[in-house]
Amino acid sequence: MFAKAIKSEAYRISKMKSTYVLMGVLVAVLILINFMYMCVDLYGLMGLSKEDVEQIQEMGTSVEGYEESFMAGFQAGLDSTENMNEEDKPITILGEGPMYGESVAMVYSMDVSSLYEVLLLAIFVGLYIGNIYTTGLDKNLNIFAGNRTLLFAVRIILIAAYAFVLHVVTWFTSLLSAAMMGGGVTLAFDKAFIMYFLITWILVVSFGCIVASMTHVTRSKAAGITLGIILSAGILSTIMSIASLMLQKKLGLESDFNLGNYTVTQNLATINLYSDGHFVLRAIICAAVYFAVAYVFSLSIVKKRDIA
Amino acid sequence: MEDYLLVTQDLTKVYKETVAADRVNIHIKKGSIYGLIGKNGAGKTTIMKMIAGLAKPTSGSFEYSGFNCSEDEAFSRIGALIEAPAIDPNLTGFDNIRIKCLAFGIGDKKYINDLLDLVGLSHTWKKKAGKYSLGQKQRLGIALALVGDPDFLILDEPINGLDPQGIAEVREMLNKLNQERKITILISSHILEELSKLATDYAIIDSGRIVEESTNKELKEKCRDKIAIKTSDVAKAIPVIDGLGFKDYSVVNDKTIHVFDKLSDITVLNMELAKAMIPVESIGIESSDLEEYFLKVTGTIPGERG
Repeated sequence: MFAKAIKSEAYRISKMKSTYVLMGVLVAVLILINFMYMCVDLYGLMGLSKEDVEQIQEMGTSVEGYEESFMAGFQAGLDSTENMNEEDKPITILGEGPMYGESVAMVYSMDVSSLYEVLLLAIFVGLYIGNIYTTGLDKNLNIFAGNRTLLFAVRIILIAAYAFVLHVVTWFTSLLSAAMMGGGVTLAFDKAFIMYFLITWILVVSFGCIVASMTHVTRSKAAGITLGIILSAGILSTIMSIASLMLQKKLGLESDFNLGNYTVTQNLATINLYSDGHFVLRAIICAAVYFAVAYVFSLSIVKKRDIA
Repeated sequence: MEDYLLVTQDLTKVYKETVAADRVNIHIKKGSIYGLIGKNGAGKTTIMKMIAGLAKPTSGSFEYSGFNCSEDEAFSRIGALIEAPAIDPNLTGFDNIRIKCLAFGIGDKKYINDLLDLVGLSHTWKKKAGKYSLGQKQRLGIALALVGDPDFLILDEPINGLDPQGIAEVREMLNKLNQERKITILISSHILEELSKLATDYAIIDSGRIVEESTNKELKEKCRDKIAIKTSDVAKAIPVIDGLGFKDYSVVNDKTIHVFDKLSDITVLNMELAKAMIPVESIGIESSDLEEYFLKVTGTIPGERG
């Protein structure tokens, strides 16, 4: 039964145009982003030299450091403006961007954290699950009428598989970008990269399950896709920040407490190749909890409901 | 005891405060074509959904005694076309069928082509289902219901949207499936005339309840042409009827007699009743088709509930 369900659903996915269009869109969007970070001299546009940037990055993390780095950046900006006036130097747009010369793993990390992958996965999941309700497809599959759990699980497995494919497509796009625009390919295919790849995949699957859950519960393509866009575009982050501040005051929590740290998309956006164990563990727990809640909740509704 | 495929026991479905099916008891014989007759919203689709495994009964039960297997396994032996056909408009007819075939473990493409051929869609297999006409969609729905060679076919208004030729083709196809492949069919239709050409058994449903369950023979008996006599003295009229040699008649109530034979002798009968000084309020030939009978039984014609 399981194999038959996988074959049937995989065939349906293979026949959806959006399956391929979304991959194409992902490649195109990531190449544009990578072009911007590899071939556009963003620092130069701000009037900063590489040395200035390194100085700012070294100062970086503390509040004092942030203030110092801000002032350094500001001063560098002033200096460059003065120099420009003196020498009448033209502003160049193209040049070596901040990601120029970085390893494929680093480019990949930036591409994943841009959240375009999850945005497109949300559209895919919305269409894939939403089609069940717009076409009444499950009426044809009454062979699974007594085993809806199986069909539900198969669909989530295939969403995870598609998320994996998107993850791989993202990596290939990073590789392509590095080869074409990044000044050479350094794979950095090490343990840290593999861990990063797997953890971010788990987070992406969890995100896909949340969107699938929303689509199942509302029986609407639009609802699932909209939720996916809201989450991946960070529209909720402002609300999260306000809620975090309120909780900090009410419960006396530490000032670095942020609710956003406990969301799938925030973890996906902030985790990187060098994240420490605590950060990684939090990301995995978040992914698992959201996945489990979304899965159990929507399955219970699907099982209870009649097939429309 | 009859060899039943499906028997329901007080099958009930309640949606919020609406009772869609109310203690439904139907008995579907193996190899029969069972017609479900009812108005819109009478509960036909709900009953079909429950026995196809698409909706859970609120109470009551059903048993596929003819299958001798578990309920879950029984669902795999049922083909259903309920309400609109479940078709992905962005896929071709072939692909729509292939999705279901793969779920049934059928990988043979010839099987799909044969199905399309059976329903008369072989020439459109490359066309997107969204571009099909209403009738073609209905045919594709029937083809989908036939995937997996079901032993029991549930068809909810399968001839909706079909032209007269299409209706005749579907009728022929269903008859063929029933007779050659021994598929038991449960079918509902608003076109009672068509249903009467197919069905071997009927259930009339009204407001979620089964009003009557009968065989085609019984129903034809009830619907056949007759002389209806209305008189205040039935007892006196009977010897006159006997005297004229009428054999097939029945006293419906204390004012009505139905005579089923020698309909052309109505004038003679009328004269003899008059000669015998029997007060006749009305006499005439009544004929009712399935539709009229249905309207009477469901009380749609006031005072005629039979």
